[in-house]
Amino acid sequence: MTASGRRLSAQTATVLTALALNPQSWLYGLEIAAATGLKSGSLYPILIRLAERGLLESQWLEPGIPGRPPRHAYRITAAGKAALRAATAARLAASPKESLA
Amino acid sequence: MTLQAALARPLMALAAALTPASRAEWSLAMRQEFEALQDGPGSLAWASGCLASSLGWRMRAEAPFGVGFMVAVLAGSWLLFPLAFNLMYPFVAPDWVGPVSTANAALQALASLVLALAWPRRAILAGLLVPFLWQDGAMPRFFLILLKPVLSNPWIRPSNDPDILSVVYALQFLFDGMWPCIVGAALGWGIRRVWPTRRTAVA
Repeated sequence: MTASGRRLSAQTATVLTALALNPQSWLYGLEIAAATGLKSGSLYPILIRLAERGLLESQWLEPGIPGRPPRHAYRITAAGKAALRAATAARLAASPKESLA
Repeated sequence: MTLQAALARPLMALAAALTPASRAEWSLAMRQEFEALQDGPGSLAWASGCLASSLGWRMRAEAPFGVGFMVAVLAGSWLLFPLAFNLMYPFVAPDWVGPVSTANAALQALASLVLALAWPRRAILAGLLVPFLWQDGAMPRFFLILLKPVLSNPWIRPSNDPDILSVVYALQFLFDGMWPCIVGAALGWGIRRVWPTRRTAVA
C-alpha cells in the first residue's frame, strides 16, 4: 500500500518514475508521454489521480517563446516519492527473482 | 494545414466540448499540449487520446443522471402502471382500455416531470426518451410494426381509421405516445425555473 493507502498500477508507477527521475524539474504532459510511452488518453487520467492523491503537484508555466499559451507542468511531491518507494519495495518483495536479475 | 491536423483539430474541439466543468482545467492542459505540437506528428494520436479521456469523464459525470433516469422509467413502468391498472380495473371494466391508456399516459408524464425536476438541463432528453423506454419500449415497438405497411404504401387509408392516410396515422400514433412526456418534462423544467433550488437561489 502507498502513503495514500492505495496500490499503484504499473502505468501509474511508470509516470511517477518519469517524474522522480527529474524530481526538481517541472515536466509537461508531452514530455511525460514521451518518457513513458503513454498516450494522452491514458496519461491524463493518471495525472489527475496522482494530483488528487497529492502524489504530484502541478502549475501553469509561461512558455519561453512569447505569444505561446501557458502550459500545465507537473512535479513529483514528497508523498509521491514515498509512494513510489513503497510500490517498488512491494513489487520487489512480491517477485524476489526480479531483484536478483 | 496537413490532413492529420485537419482531422485532429475537430477532435480536440469535440473533446473540449464534451469535457465536464469539473475537468475543465485538465482539458485545457491537454489542449495546450496539443497546441505545443503545432500540428506536427502525433497531433492526431494526441487529439484522439484527449477525446477518449473527455468521453470517459463525460460518461462518469452523466452516470447519476443515467442511473436516475433508468430507475425512474423502470419504476414507473414496472411498479406504477400495474398498480394503477389493478386499482382502476374494478371501476372501469369492461371498457378499461381508454381510462387505463389515459392513466398510463399520465404516469409517463409524471415520470418525465420528476426527471425534469431532478435534472432541468436535461428536460428535453427526459421528454423525448421516456416514451421510448416506458414499458420496455412498447411504443416504439408498436410504431415499428405500424411503420412496415406505411413504408410500403404511405398513401393508403388504414382500416381502423379510414379518414386519414396511413402515414398521418403513424405520425399521429407517435405524437400520441410522446406528447404527455413532452408536456410533463416541460412542466418540470418550468417548475424549476420558477422555483429554483436553494443552492441555485443562493448562487
